[in-house]
Amino acid sequence: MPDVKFLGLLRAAAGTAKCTVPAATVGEALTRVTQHYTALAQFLFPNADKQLSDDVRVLVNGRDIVFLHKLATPLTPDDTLTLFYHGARGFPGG
Amino acid sequence: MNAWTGTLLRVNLTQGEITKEAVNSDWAREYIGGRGLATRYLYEEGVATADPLGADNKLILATGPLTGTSAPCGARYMVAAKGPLTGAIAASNAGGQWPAELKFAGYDMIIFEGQAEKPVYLWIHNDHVELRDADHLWGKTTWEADDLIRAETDPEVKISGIGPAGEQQVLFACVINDKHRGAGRSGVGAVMGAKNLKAVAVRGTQGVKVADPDGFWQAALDTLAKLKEAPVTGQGLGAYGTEVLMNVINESGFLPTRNFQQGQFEGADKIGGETLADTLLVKNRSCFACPIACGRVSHVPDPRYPKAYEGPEYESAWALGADTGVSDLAAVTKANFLCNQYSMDTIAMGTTLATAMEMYERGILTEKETGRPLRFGDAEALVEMTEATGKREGFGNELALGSKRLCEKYGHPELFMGVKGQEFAAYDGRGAQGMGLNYATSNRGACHVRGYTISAEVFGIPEKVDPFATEGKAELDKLFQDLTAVVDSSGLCLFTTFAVGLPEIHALLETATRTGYTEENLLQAGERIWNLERLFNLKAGLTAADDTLPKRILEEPIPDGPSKGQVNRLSDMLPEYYQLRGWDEDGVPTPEKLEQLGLANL
Repeated sequence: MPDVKFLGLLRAAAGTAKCTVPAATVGEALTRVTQHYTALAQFLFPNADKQLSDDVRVLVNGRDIVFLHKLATPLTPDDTLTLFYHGARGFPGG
Repeated sequence: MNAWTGTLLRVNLTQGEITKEAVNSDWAREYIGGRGLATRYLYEEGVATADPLGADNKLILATGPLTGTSAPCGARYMVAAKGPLTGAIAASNAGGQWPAELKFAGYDMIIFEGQAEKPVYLWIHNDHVELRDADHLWGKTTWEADDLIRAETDPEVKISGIGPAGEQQVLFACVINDKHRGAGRSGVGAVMGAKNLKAVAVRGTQGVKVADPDGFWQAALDTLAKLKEAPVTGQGLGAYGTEVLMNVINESGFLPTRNFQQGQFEGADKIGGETLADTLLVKNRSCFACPIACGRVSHVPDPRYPKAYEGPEYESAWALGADTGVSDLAAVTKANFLCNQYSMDTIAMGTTLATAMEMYERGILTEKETGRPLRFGDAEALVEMTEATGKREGFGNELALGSKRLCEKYGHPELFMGVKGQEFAAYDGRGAQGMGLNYATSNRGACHVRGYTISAEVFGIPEKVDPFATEGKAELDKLFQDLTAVVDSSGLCLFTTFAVGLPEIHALLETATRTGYTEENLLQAGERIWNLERLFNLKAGLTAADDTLPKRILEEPIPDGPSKGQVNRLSDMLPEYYQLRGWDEDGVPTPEKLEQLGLANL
């Protein structure tokens, strides 16, 4: 099963540094981790539309999913997901 | 003038003379303050051709117009000089309480020139300014000196100064203020030491006037609201400090490890922000008017190092940890503390030691030179060598040269990981192409905070860009570099830019000064500052050949992790960067560009 690592505020919300999750895609993995670690939902899917927050970055084996297939990125059992919440705004557009 | 006090102190240390001068108001408006205004004075006064450690170099401590105001995070000052590590312009930034206190005493900046015959410190109490004997302070750590000066001046005094490393001109010595804040890079502490200047002690009891109090107050409230609303400044930096980056950059695959031989460190989590918060963190500490409070007060429950310390922040933990292969957070924290006590740049300390460790493991250095085994991962060696460097004892006297000179001395200049004589920071330019270009072109040598493209390459601010791609990076670097020059000159902390942008910074500066700033002319001021720094460096003898990266970064692919196979493709980006800057192929600003920026007469 793919590993999932939580960094920073997401680690505090999950109460653990990592877990494994049975999932075939990134979207499926995120749904499962938010079901299991419910405090993560407010960070990952804060709005009613259930879109992944722009404040969260998701890496698969170190690569941001925006350069892969986003939530449809397929996962293999050896893959590692890393989730972190940056919440940055600002520079340079305001 | 409003926001600026309009007065500077000029201290001739050779003659022991102190004069008060009006700040050039045209320059203040055009170069804003801090980094920009200090560079304008250094350029005008011929410092570019000075010996960095000679009497002809000048040392400027400069605040910005927002320093000491109620602008959130208006706590910063710059220490500027010709840098001994680089021979280039050096301008190092710090926060704390000291910068605001200088404004409260009635001064925007202090220019030190000449060299004192024997150790002195400057005591400023509003209008009263005097040089005092510092014989009894020489050899004391920054903390010891701070306590002694406080006892003989004022309980509320704020102190900026150097420890033994600055006195002995360790080439990467820094200036420490308020015990915990460092104007860290480029060796400005060595310049202070060469001038026999131990410290600047300030007590100020006046306010800072702004031009439009109501407008300014609203702009400050707007900025404060955005700082609190943005999770990174409202929660993240407070919870974990900058150290939260350790795992993020490691997972991204460009955490420089063991002198940039690897892109991931297996011990990253042990020295990262989460572990620091769980194990050593006692409380946060903030600078003047700062709602973020990223400072870390740490207690090490370890019999080897039984004290409370500050930090480490990310760059320090990386340099003293991942780059040396040390995953012992207590030892890293202790080494960080020693750097503050002796006044040394934590980045240069760690990276220079990492270079020495690689040379030792390759057999270039032996115990005959180092006096002890010096292998990656040796926490005891980290602490011992940091202290030896601060004292310039044993092999520490060699480490005091910095990485470039150390590598050259032992015949392996290719092992120096830096640019223009200054060591890299905590991002491998092979895994983040934009940061690599920023390192190559940074005017003060390799520096991550001259153009922090990691915002875009990792966090996606203002938009997510591929860290491995070169397309668009020249434009991104130029924009970040020019904007950062504005922030550094304003007196604001760069961390505000995780929450606000040019519109908010403009609102603060214009309501504070009412000098006609617009977003457009502020951005142009940033470009003017960048070009003036370039002119300084060209006059100092630097050329386009200095805008490069080490062979390892350009030709040796990262061997492991997510960035495996990547090198920095500088040649794909640099010509476009020069073109966007309006520089010719030799990296020299064209007459048209200088005319456009009002620099044609320089």
